[in-house]
Order: sequence, then structure tokens, then C-alpha cells
Amino acid sequence: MKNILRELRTERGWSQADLADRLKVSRQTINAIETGRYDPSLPLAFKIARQFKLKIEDIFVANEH
Amino acid sequence: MHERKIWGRYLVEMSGSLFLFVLCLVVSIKVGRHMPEGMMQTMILVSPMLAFLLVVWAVVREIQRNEVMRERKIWTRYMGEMLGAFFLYVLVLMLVHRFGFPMHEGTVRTLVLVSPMGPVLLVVWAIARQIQRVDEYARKQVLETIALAFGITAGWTLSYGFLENAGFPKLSMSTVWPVMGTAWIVVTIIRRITGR
Repeated sequence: MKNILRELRTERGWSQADLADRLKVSRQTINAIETGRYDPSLPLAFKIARQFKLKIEDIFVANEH
Repeated sequence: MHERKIWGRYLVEMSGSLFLFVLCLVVSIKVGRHMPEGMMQTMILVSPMLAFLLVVWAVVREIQRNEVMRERKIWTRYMGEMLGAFFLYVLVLMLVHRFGFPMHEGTVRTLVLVSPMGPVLLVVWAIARQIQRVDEYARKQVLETIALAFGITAGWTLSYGFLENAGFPKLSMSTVWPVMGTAWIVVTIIRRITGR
């Protein structure tokens, strides 16, 4: 799955640690999501969407096969 | 790159202090017990405790380096529980070696020799609590690493079983844990370096 988390985060001037603190996860988790190494669970995806006041599908896009 | 540098520093501090701790523990058990009583013997018997403080120092430094407040909190709590249980384990172990071994054979002696397992249960409790506290990605990473370490240990012990049939010396069942612990550490380091 692709995502625009890094873009959204940097637009707001937040570091990975800042976003991790807001979402109550580790900085490694943010890094793994941003680099596409980890797809978050549905509850975490909702949490991320709420944080940026967007819909999940505005942030995450499924890879086309 | 910055993160790798920080992690490399932690690795050096942790492995150095752990090595010193194990060395002091072995010397204390193998040499200290048979020495004549006195200042020298007390110092050797106490040395693992002092080396243990270095391990604590390495952990505290690593927690302080974490920029995420919540992470610092949960790791501080975990390390407090874990180190407390470990400290108690070492203490009980030393007492058992000092007073348990010279006891007469019997049920009481057996119970005393098994008593270090009490603090080990506290370690299990601390691990269970921490797994509940960490986030989903950390939980996934830990479980994958343990699964890999488990597979390596299974392969290793099974191979050695065949080697024993071929005449290699019989090893104690308790050697499985150091193998699994080592495999766990090696897999963790490799995954951390490769970012997988």
C-alpha cells in the first residue's frame, strides 16, 4: 500500500517523533509506515486519518496489480 | 544513518557491560565460593552486582535517547520491572550458591536450589505486561524475531542431537536457552541493521 504520510507530516513541520507522540506509537512505526515497510491496522489507519482530518483513502492507496 | 549511529552506541555499551557482568558472575561462582573468607572473597562475590549497575546505566542511556515521550515512559516502566526481577534473580542465585549447595540432600535443598525460578516468573510477568504496552508494529517485529530465533534453535538443537549420536559429548538441556537467546540477539541485530 502507498501513502502520503511523510508529505502530510512535513507539511505541518512535525518530526517523526512528534507524530509518534500524537498517535501514541513508536517512531519506528511511523518510519515503517512512511517507507512502505508496514501497513497499519484499521484502528491505527483511522487514528492517522483523524489526526490529519482526512479520510483513510486520502492517505492510503492500494497498490494496483 | 543518525539512528544507526545511536543504535551502534547502545549495542557497544550493552554488549560490553553484559560481557563484564557474565564474566564477574562466572568468576564469582567458580572462584569466589572456594576462596578463604575475607575482604577479597566479598569483593569477588559482590562484583556481579557492580557490573549489573553498568547494564542498568546502558539501558537508562538508551531510554533517554528516545525522542518519543510515550516510548520513554513505557520503556522506563518495563526496564524498572525487568531489572528489578533480574536483580532479585541474581541475588537469589548467589544466595543459593552460597548456602544451598552445602545443605544436606533432601526436599528442602531441592526447593532451595529451584528457588531462583521465583524471580524468573516475575520476568515473565514483566514481558507479558510490556507486550500489552507496545504498539502493533513493535509487537509484530518482536513476534517475527522470536519465530526466527525459535526456528534457528530448533535447527541447531536437532542437528546437535544427531551429532550426539555420532559421538559428540552429551549436553545439558539448559544449554538450549543460551542458544535461543544468542539466536534472538543475532536476528535482532541483523534485522535492525538491514531495516527488515
